[in-house]
Amino acid sequence: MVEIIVDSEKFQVDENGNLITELKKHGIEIPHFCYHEALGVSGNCRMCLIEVVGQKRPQIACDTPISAGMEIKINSELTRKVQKGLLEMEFINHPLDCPTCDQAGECSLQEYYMKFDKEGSRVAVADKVKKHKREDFGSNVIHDEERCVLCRRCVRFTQICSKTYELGIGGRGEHSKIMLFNDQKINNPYAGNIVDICPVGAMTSADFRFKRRVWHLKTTEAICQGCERGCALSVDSDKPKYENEQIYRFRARFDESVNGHFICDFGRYSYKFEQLIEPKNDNALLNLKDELKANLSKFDVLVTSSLSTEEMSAAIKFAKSFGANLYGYDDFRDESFCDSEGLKLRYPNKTANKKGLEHLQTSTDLTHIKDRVIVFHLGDKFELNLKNPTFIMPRKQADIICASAYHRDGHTINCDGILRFSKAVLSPVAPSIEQIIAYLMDEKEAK
Amino acid sequence: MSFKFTPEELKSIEELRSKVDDDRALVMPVLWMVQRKQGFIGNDDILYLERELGIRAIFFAEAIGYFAMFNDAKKGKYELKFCKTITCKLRGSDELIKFCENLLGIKMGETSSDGLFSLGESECLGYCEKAPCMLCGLEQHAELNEEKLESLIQKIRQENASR
Ligand code: SF4
Ligand code: SF4
Ligand code: FES
Ligand code: FES
Repeated sequence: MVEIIVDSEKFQVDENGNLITELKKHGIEIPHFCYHEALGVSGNCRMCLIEVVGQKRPQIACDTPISAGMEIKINSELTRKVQKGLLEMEFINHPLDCPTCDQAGECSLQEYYMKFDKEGSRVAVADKVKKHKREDFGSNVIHDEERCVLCRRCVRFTQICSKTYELGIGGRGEHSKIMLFNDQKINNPYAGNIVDICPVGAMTSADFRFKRRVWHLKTTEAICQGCERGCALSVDSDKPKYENEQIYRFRARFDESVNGHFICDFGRYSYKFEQLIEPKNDNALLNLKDELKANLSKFDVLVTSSLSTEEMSAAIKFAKSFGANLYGYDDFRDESFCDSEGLKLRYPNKTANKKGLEHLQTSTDLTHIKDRVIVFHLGDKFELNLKNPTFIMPRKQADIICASAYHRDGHTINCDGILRFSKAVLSPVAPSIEQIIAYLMDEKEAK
Repeated sequence: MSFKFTPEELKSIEELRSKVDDDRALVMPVLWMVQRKQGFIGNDDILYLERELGIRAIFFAEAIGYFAMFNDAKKGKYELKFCKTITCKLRGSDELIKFCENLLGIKMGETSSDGLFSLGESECLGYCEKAPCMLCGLEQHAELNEEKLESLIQKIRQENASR
C-alpha cells in the first residue's frame, strides 16, 4: 500500500493495482468505457483522461502506474475540459434518443453526459451519420452500430474470456465497426455477458430489450440454481399492473471466489422457469396430511440436491417425526455442461446444493426405498423408478406446488465448498418447502 | 481455384514463427503473401489461413479491414488507389478522382467490365510533397494531373490490347 493524493486528499492504495479500481474502493469514480476489471487495460477510449501533477499532458488513468506520493486531479478544470471534449466526440454521430434506448438508466455515456457535459449539440440532426441498427449477432445479442463507442470490451471478452473469437473491429477510423467474420454469429455459452459489459446500448439482449425500463426494476442478490457452481446473481424483478410480480432478467453479480464478473447463458435465462405459479394445493395438501397421519412410518422421504440446506434439515425433522427414512438424490449430471475452454463456470451437476446434501450424509442408494415416497425437489420433474411418489415442486407437473428457489431464503454449498446465501426475490404465491413441511407436521398453516 | 501455400512458403512462415513470441505477428506477412499472388484475400482464404496456421480468422479480417492495401475481393489487373488524405485533397485529388471515374466509366470501389482497372482509396502514401498522388498496383504516381492520368490509362490499355 502506498499513499497518493487525489484532489489534495490523501488515500491509501495498492501500488500494483489499477488507479480506476483502487479509487473505486474509496468511492471515487473515474469515468471510463474500455477498462474493465476482468478484461484489463485497452487504453483506447480516452474517457479516463485525468490531470496528473508533474505531467505535461493529461494521462489515461487506466494505464497510469500507481507510485507513492503521486498527485492527480480528477475534478480540476483541465480534467473537466478533456472529459467534455471526449464526450462531444462520442456524441457527434450518436443517436439523440436516450428515452427510447434500451440501455437508458444503466448507460455510462448517459451518466457521464449528465455528470460532466450537459452541452447542446453542434451537429444538425440531418448531418448525423446513420449506421446499421438491430443487427442480429446471434446468441441473443443484438448490435446497434450507431451507439457503439468502440471500446472493444465485447471483442476482448470473446478473446480473453470465452476464447471463441467471434468479434473484431472492421474498417478504420470513422468507418470502424464491430463485425463478425464471414457473418458467423456469436456462438458461445457465455454470450449474454457481452450485453452486460457493453458500457452503452450497442449490445442489447434480444431476450430483455424493451420489456422493462430498468429504473422500475427491483434488484435482489441471489445465487444461481442452474448448477453446482452457484454463481452470484442480481435478479431484476417488477410487478406490472394487474399482474403478479415477475422476474425479468438475471445478471451476473461480482463474486471473486466463485464466478468473477460473469455467468453462463443457461443460468442467465433460467429465470424463465422460475416465475411464480399459482398453487391449487389446498385439497392435495390436506389429503396428504391426512394420509400421512393415518399411515405413520409407511412412507419414505426423498430430498434432492436442489434444496437449500434449511429445506434439507426441515425434511430431516419431518422424516424423523413420522418415523420415515430419509433418502437423498443428486444424480443431475450433464457431462456436456462443462467447459474445458473459456470461463469454465459451468459445472456438470445441475443442482445448486450437492455438497449440502453430502453434508447430511443421507443415503443415495435407493434400492430399499419404500413404494410410497414424498419427493421434495426444486426444478424440473425427473424420472425415478418409484411406485407411488408425491412430487412437491415449483412446476406445473407437480402433485403439490411449492415456491421456487428464488422465492425463498436459503443457503447452498457450492462445488468448492463455499457456503452462500440466496435471498428471496419476491414473496411467493405458493408456500415454500419449509412451510409445507411445517404444515404437514402440524406446526403452522401452509400459506 | 483456391489459394494454397507452396511447401517452401510454409517453411518460410514457420521460420518466421520461430522468431516471434506472438503468432499474430505473422498476420501481416502472411496476408502479403496471399495478396501478392492472388491480388486479394477472400473469406475462404482466411479460413484456409486459420486452418493451416492456427491463427484466428478474425485477426486476418481485422487487418484486412484496417489496412487499405489489402483487398477482400477480386480487383482489376491494375488497381488505382488515390490517396484520400488531407494534403492530396487540398491539392485537388477529389476532382482528379471524378475525372478518373468518368474516364473509366466506373465509380470508386468498382472494377471496369474488361477487368483491367479498379478504383480505390488509400490512406496517406507519405508522398505529400508531391501531392496529389496514387498507387497503380504497387507503384507510386506523384504530382498527378488530368493529362498524366489520361496517358497512363491509355498506355495500359494499349499494352494490354496488343497482347
Ligand atoms: S459494442 Fe459495446 S462493448 Fe463492443 S465496442 Fe461497442 S460499445 Fe464497446
Ligand atoms: S455456471 Fe452454473 S451457477 Fe453459474 S450461471 Fe451457469 S448454471 Fe448458473
Ligand atoms: S478506460 Fe482508460 S482509455 Fe478507456
Ligand atoms: S496526403 Fe496524399 S500522400 Fe500524404
